[in-house]
Amino acid sequence: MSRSRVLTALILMVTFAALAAGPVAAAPKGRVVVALGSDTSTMDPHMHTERMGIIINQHIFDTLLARDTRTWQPVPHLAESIKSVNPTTWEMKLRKGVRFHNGEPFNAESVKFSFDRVLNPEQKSPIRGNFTWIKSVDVVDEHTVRIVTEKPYPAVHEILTFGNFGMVPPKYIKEKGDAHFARNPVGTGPFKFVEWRKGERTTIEANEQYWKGAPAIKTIVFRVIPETATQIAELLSGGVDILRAVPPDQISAIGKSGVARVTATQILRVVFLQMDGDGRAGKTPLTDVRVRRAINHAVNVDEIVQKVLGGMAVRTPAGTNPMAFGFDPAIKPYAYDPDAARKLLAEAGFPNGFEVTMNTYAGSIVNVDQVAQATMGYLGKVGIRVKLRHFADVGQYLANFRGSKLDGMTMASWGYNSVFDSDFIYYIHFRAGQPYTYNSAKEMDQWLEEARSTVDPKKRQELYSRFQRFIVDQAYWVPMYAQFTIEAASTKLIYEASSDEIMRIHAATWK
Amino acid sequence: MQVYILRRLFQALFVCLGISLITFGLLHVVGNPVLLLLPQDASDKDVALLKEKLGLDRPLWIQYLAFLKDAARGDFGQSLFTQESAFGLILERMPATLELTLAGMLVGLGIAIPLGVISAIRRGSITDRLCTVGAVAGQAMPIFWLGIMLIILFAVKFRVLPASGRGTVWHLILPAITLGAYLAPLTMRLTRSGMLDVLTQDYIRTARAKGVVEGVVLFKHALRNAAIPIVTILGVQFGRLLGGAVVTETVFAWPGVASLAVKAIRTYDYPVVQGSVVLLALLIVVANLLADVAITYLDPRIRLGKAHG
Repeated sequence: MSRSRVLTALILMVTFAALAAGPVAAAPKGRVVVALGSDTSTMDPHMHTERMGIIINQHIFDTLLARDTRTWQPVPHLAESIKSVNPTTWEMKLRKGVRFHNGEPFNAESVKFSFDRVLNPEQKSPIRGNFTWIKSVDVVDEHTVRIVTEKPYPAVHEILTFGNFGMVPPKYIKEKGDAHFARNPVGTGPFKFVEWRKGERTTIEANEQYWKGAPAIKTIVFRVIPETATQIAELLSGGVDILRAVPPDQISAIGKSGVARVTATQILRVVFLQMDGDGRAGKTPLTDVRVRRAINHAVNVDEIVQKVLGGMAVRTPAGTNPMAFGFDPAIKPYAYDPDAARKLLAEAGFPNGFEVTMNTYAGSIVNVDQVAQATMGYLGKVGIRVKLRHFADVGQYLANFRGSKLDGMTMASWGYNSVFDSDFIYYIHFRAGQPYTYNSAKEMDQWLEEARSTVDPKKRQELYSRFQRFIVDQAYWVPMYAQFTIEAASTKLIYEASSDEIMRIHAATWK
Repeated sequence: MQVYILRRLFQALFVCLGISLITFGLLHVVGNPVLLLLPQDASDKDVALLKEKLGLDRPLWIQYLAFLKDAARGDFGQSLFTQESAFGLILERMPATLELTLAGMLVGLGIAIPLGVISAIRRGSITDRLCTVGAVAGQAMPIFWLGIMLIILFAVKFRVLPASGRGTVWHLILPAITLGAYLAPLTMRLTRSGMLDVLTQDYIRTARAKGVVEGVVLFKHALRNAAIPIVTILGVQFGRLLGGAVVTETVFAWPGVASLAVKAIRTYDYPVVQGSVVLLALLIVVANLLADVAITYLDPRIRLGKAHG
């Protein structure tokens, strides 16, 4: 063997050894700055419902189940397994050897404490309502927990991935109190809390003992930068590495900059034109199914997706998101056909059209003004004159929505509370008596109740398919599209946007 | 003098009371935070329960009296979102706002006074006209536009200053210029007209006739007298400056009270809104008071008038 061959073999051996050791061998390094549009109110995951807070929490805390970032299905995390013992009892086996950042062990006691804390009415946790299907949480042994539900509940796995439901340390909270915990969070997550300067920045540092292996990045700084133009200036000047909510008209500028690139992906939030078919806020022509069908034929949703959103949206033929359980790909949307629309309107007794209100609101819907204007334009072509009523304030919009005051139609959107299941959009919009229900029918009530009280996926899918065919036939909504999240990241990083809108900077690596 | 200051402070109490009543009324009429605190799919029962827990189901006047009772002891209540003392949250942010406002004031005066003086001395010259055009342009320029232009120029293009945030003195430069440019035009025009007015007075002619050096004439005799309306207006302008700070803080991601108050207003976080509005009102009252006190030192006639009156 020649000398050079020996050398080659040696180099190969060293390389393989290094490869085999994998990313675990590399110590975390570098600093990533993330721009967020607003600050979180608290570091306590159980005490808020804010997106920015969830993003920060997910780096410090672990949930019982997590999501597979390709399929977005729930997968084991702090719970190694979960299985149904009977229709109302679930047994979880917990991961062993996990510790909180303060050294406190993670075990069945911490799981029970976390559940009980959220469920205790005195705690005033805003997410309590998402857990009231639970009857009790019982410790079986150090690493086994049983959840007993009031009724069979199909979305157990989904709720256990819930961004707000991080596991918290009982001893630490009991000793230091809630107020201290809200400012000095301790979790089991991939990053440890370092500092929170309110309204300014949150700094976290890699947890090198993380049970999944140390992250690649040493320090993450979440900076509060309210103004989008400033966020983009920071990105282009190198002050910020990742930002969320990039306006569609900035995509090409960022792409051309050479320092950053855009990463976009489909998210759960869907946009739809809800019509008041029940006449809940007052009688309008929309209580006639022919009028609602005409409106469905009149709006060219595909063109809105292409022209207004640059193709960054996915059609939702029956309103529910293709990523959510229950979606039926066999259902097709109404075809764009203004002539058919005019004919239906004439049949319904409106040969010259009519005037109707369209409610819109600021926030959540990307390019909402343009989408609303385009929709108004299409409706105008078939003779429907739209009066726009815009809510600049989300609180006002929600209060009017719940208060039976959104007459005519509403350009609404829904984020599913980050649960990938159709129950989380349909129940609250179509079950009689629910806060957002402006269209109801006995059949729908029955299907919705049945689908949420069985744990058999096949049966549930059948019910939702039937349900979707019904609401498309009745044309209660003009189902439009599912939005994209548009984020930007420095070209130095390997980072992708997530479909559940939880930025996973802990999973990012350096190029 | 002390009686005067005490009387003014006593008046301030009523100003704060009036302002708290107005903000309380406006906010509660417009909406409530319960729907923003809860997830959007919360049931009507959950909404009612939280409303009750927060005491928002009580009649408005009872809520206001309860607020007053606590406020009298310096307790503005807990933020509805952070469950922390509202006053504490505000105080935490106060230094940033004061730093920005004072720096903006210094920059504004630093630009306005010299330019105003030069314009007055060289009345009708090219310099004077340029300054007038500049002042008009400055007054017409929206503050957020100027801020973003400065960021693009100095942070993105030349990369000499940070685009946003608070930390080093470098971070302060762009926001201070933005806020200063907001204050400067009016002050400059006041300085110019004040100086023009004073420069035609007899005592200036006398000073010049005595052979006093021109610099001393300008800065000791003229500017000191021209300063009286400037100081008066500065007191009033302080409120405007805080208004400008709201926009400046947002554009530059400056972690001050103004941006805290804006977020609190948007989310109906009543205690934080009440606390910051009352505190900012108090600041404006104090600024006006300081201006008035400063004037009595600049203008002995006012001081004497008080003594005799």
